[in-house]
Amino acid sequence: MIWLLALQLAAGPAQHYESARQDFAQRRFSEAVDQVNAALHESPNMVPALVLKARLATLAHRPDVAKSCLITAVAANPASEEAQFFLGLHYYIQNDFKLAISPLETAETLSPDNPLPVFYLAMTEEALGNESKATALYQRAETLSPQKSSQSAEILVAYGRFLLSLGRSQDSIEKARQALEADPESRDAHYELSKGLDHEGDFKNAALEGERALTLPEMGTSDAQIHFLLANVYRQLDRPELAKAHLEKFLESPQTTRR
Amino acid sequence: MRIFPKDAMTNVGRRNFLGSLAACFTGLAVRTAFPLDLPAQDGIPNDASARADTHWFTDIARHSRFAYRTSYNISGRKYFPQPMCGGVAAIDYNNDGFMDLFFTNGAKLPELLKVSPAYYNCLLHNNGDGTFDDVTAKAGLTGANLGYCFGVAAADYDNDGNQDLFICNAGRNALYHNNGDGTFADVTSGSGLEHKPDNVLSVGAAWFDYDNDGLLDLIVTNYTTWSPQTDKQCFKDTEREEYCSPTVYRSIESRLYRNRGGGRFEDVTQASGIGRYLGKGMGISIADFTGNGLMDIFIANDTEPNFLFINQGNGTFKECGLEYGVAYNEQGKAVSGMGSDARDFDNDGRVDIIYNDLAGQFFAILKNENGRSFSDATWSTRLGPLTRTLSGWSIGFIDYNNDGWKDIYSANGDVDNLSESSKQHDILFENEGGKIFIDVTEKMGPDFAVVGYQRGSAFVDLNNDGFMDLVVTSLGEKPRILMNNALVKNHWIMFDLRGHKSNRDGIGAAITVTTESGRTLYSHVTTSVGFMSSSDRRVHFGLGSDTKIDHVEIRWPSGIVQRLENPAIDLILQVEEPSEKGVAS
Repeated sequence: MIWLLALQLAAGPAQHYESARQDFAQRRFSEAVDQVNAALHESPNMVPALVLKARLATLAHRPDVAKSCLITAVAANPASEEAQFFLGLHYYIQNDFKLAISPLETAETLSPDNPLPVFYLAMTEEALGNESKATALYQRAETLSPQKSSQSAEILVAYGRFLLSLGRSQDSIEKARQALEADPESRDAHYELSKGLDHEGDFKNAALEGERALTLPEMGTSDAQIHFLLANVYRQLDRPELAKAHLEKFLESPQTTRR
Repeated sequence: MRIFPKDAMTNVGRRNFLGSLAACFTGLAVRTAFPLDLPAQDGIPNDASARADTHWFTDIARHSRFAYRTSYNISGRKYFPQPMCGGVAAIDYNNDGFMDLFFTNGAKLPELLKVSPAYYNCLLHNNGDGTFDDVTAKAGLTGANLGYCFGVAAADYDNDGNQDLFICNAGRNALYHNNGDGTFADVTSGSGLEHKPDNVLSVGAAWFDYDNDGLLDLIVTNYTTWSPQTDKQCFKDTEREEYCSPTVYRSIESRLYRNRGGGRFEDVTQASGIGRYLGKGMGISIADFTGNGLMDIFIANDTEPNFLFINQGNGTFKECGLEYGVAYNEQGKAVSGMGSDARDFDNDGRVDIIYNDLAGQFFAILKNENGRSFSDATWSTRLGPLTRTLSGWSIGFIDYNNDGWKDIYSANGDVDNLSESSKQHDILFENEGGKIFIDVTEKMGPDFAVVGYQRGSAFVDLNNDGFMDLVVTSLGEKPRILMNNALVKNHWIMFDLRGHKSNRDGIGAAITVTTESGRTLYSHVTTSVGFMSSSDRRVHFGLGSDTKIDHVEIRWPSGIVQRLENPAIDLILQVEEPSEKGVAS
């Protein structure tokens, strides 16, 4: 035990952080926690380690620890784009939208070519009901995101969902189609496309897109959501047997409720 | 000092009397308008006049001395039922023509006792001059022997001409009979309503006549089983306790009681089919959704699918929430359904539904398509984007400006007090031609936009000026009595129905107003609006610039259809149910 401690001390905070980062990437979270704590033991204001600890704390459902680490990190280095971004993200996840804006804007200023702060700013403004700001930010995030990547697909899906919430179903369909060009295997994109087509009354193609979404791995959009949508779509298509089948599958699927 | 625009009162006193006709309707004379000068109370300066001309609502609670605050005993531990406190009922308990106000209150926890007057319920007598007197003790309504009170429902269950009260509780529920002399008697024992287990949290109740036998029946929403001993403790993080999600508690059935007459009720929960469905019942809306003359029930459930109980006409109900498209939101998710209301928001003759929920979800407006299904109009009406940050409790349709389109009011405030946006203000969304809603909260004024943890609310015309007022409770605060300043000169009519073959309150009666310009407006009699609350029994219609009504049709629960030709407007019309189909002119 004593020799382990000596070894850790000898390794230095940078070494511990690097080990923690690798453990985190390989989803060895408890090892990552040990390493990041060792790094911070030696260097309490080491910003990358504080951010990593915050991310680990978020995964462990400890938002209080995450917040504390991120505030320390931002205080230690206000010019850390990473710390500012994750602090903004933390507030966004906690539904503290007003608090999220400032760190996300700072992160955006520090790294103007990075689409992620802009993307989360867009979602934050959307959550605050600031539609025109959100629209402009989604547009910018789309422009900044690399072409045909899963990241750009994710941004386009969220953008399309937002446009649908504004009643702009044609625009939403276009974004979902762009998302599918970027990532043809995106279940979320097929689902959003199906919803947009449903809104437009194109039930036949809505059904096709919904069925396609069901074949893809479940990530964000749940089976239950798709079955629910398809039940409605098939009802509109006057296919009661299919509507009933999807409704039954919807009821059998694990339901997600939250508060 | 002007509190109420005088113009709005000028026509109220007109009297239109049709004597002994079988079908008669009477313009109710309003005895007095509220005076223009009111005394300031509690050291608060009377500065209402400065606001009255520019803002829609002014809080007049400050002009009256009463002790009531919504006491939910926040100190110490966070107990699960605490955030649900402060039901409101509008009730003219002494039949003087002015609606009075009743409030429910919490209790000391974990004892679940009203250990001091701070926890007493409250009855405020409307003096008709903009002030209210606390008459709780005199009326016998302190509820000192009750536990933590939630919802309240007002109606004349025994058809004696006096509105009674049913109070939902943690602990026993209570039925108070109005003796007609300014006092109430607790008649729960022996009524058939006394058998509720103490650990069942009854949250809301609604009076309605599901079998159209002329006696008002009672539906009670139950939330879960809970006692201080079984209370679970939840934490947001290591330092901060939070109110547990309802998902950690079990779902239970609502209860239906059939009124057998003579002050006796029969529990028909199982026989009616309602007992087969478990939920976490909150708001109740009563309406004839299918258009067959029978009252149906919508129940907003918290974290469970909503219920739509369709009345089969044989003493049973069929749960059709999923089939009719009201159980889940558009994404197929059960949300935290809270308050609800059922009215026709787009004037197409079908009763629609609105319910609210918590931040991160969206309030839902469900358009009745054909009496057989609902379409989710949350997005097409723009309600979705307006509500994504709101945690709503009581909600309802209110035509605040008498333009003939029912607007949306919601009392807001988070369940918990842990985030920057926990305290919220109420909202008012104006109905633009039955198509979309726009946020007009800013125009409502500072008294309306007070931030806090708003809970119960009632819509009521307190000064009989034809513009609907609002009463709102807020955790830890005095209620706000928000008088509508009637900033426009739109016309109106209000119906005060008296049933004979039907229940005396006329609950369930459907009213159709057709104006001379050909506009047709729809509503029905119910007191169950919002969350834990009971609104004005009288049915209000804004008429906009229409100066004449061509005719009115009233479909009574008895099946009798009554037609009124060219009734006067800008008055409260007292309408007696005829013995058979009748026309009055």
